[in-house]
Amino acid sequence: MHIKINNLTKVYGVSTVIDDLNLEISEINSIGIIGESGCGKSTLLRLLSGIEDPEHGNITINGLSPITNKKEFQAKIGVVFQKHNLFPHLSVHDNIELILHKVKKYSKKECNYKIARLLRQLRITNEANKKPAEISGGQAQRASIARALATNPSLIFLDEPTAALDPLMTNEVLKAITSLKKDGRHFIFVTHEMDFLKDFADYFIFLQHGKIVEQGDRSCLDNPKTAELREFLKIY
Amino acid sequence: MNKQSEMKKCALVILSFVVIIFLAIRFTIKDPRYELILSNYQLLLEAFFNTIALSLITLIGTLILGFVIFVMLRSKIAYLKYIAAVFSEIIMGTPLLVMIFLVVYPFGQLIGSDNKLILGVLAMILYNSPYVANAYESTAAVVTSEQYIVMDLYDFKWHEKYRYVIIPQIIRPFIPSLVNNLSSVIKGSALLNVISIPEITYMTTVISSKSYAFIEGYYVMWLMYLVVTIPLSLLAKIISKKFSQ
Repeated sequence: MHIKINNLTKVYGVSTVIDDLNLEISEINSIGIIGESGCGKSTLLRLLSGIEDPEHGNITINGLSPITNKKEFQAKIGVVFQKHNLFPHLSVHDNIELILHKVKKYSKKECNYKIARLLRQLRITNEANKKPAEISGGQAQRASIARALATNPSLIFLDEPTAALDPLMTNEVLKAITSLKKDGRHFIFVTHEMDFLKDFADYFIFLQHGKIVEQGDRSCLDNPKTAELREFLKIY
Repeated sequence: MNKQSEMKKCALVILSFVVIIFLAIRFTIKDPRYELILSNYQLLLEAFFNTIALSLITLIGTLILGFVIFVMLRSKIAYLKYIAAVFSEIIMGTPLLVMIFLVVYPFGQLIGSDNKLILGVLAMILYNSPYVANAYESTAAVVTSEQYIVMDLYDFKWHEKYRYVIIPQIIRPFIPSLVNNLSSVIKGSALLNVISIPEITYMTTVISSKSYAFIEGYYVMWLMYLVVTIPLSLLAKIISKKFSQ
């Protein structure tokens, strides 16, 4: 994965959430964005995934811009949110079928085959015909991961997917995410689960007040150069 | 036990109102002559069903036009949004009686039609549609902003958003306001009497004028409206309660 960010700035009202951010990295499979609450991690992820547009700056990920080539870019990504964000009136199966069959126009046969495989992979086959309100938070989040994988994206964004879950459910979701790594996809991950992230990600970006304070491979977590990251790692 | 006691209190209040209404109907008029009104029961029944039919047609038209306004108000095309907003403000600032006159006379003349029935119903549809658009808007709040993000992410077309996500979710919470709206339309249809549409108000006025039993006519008219609107109101409450569970 190759990412290039130039002078990226995002402002909400009078508050600058991402402040003139620059970054260029390549040959990385999974990136972990870390930092304290309110530092701009989720906003950065939303900008990188094209969910939101910046006030200034450019982003290029694998040759495509989520700002100027939004549709083309978003066709190649999957996003897992803090909450599962499944459509509440549809069953787990129908949530995925809506995307694949009704919107992306996959044939019914191909769609059913894919859904069965995904539900098996995420161990929620028995929940296929249940609505989000009828299953546990962990199962719903796994269903949301299944939906994110349905269009076979090469890059997956995960925005604190365990933030709304209890420790038991967190564990089951993290296991499910770990199992995806062997599929050769790329990941950009925001989470506070540092132990998990240390094993999962191979590049880390530490944000504070919308700026990158420190970045690097796993060694930067073992030997932080900045006092801010050292302080952060003490807490998390 | 508590529920039973509540029901007893409610039944007592209802009974008290029935008695008050009965006393009013019987004793506020000296020598009441209801038979002069009720002897025209065929005309009254015809007017009753005309009112129901007119109201249902108006409701269907209102649901369609209201939905168009609702979609326009949420459109990303600024002109569509502002046209719907300004149209709604003008309509909501216009009394129904004025709306009926404007549609039946100047507008009817403009399109070369003197069919008062169709123009009257059209006036009612125009008048009610912004309110129904507002009801759509408030029930559409059940579709969370996160769901819109997901729809945008997967590049749903606008009609796919409405067909697969928004409409299926707003139908259930919309039903109580739909029933309430039918009740408002039925009451509002009373004003169609000014253009001689043979609905409840017009027919009872005509019958009572012929027999000089004006007050009796108004009482019969009132009861005929209550016969429809009270069950509708109860229905709306029951549906609302059922869907909120």
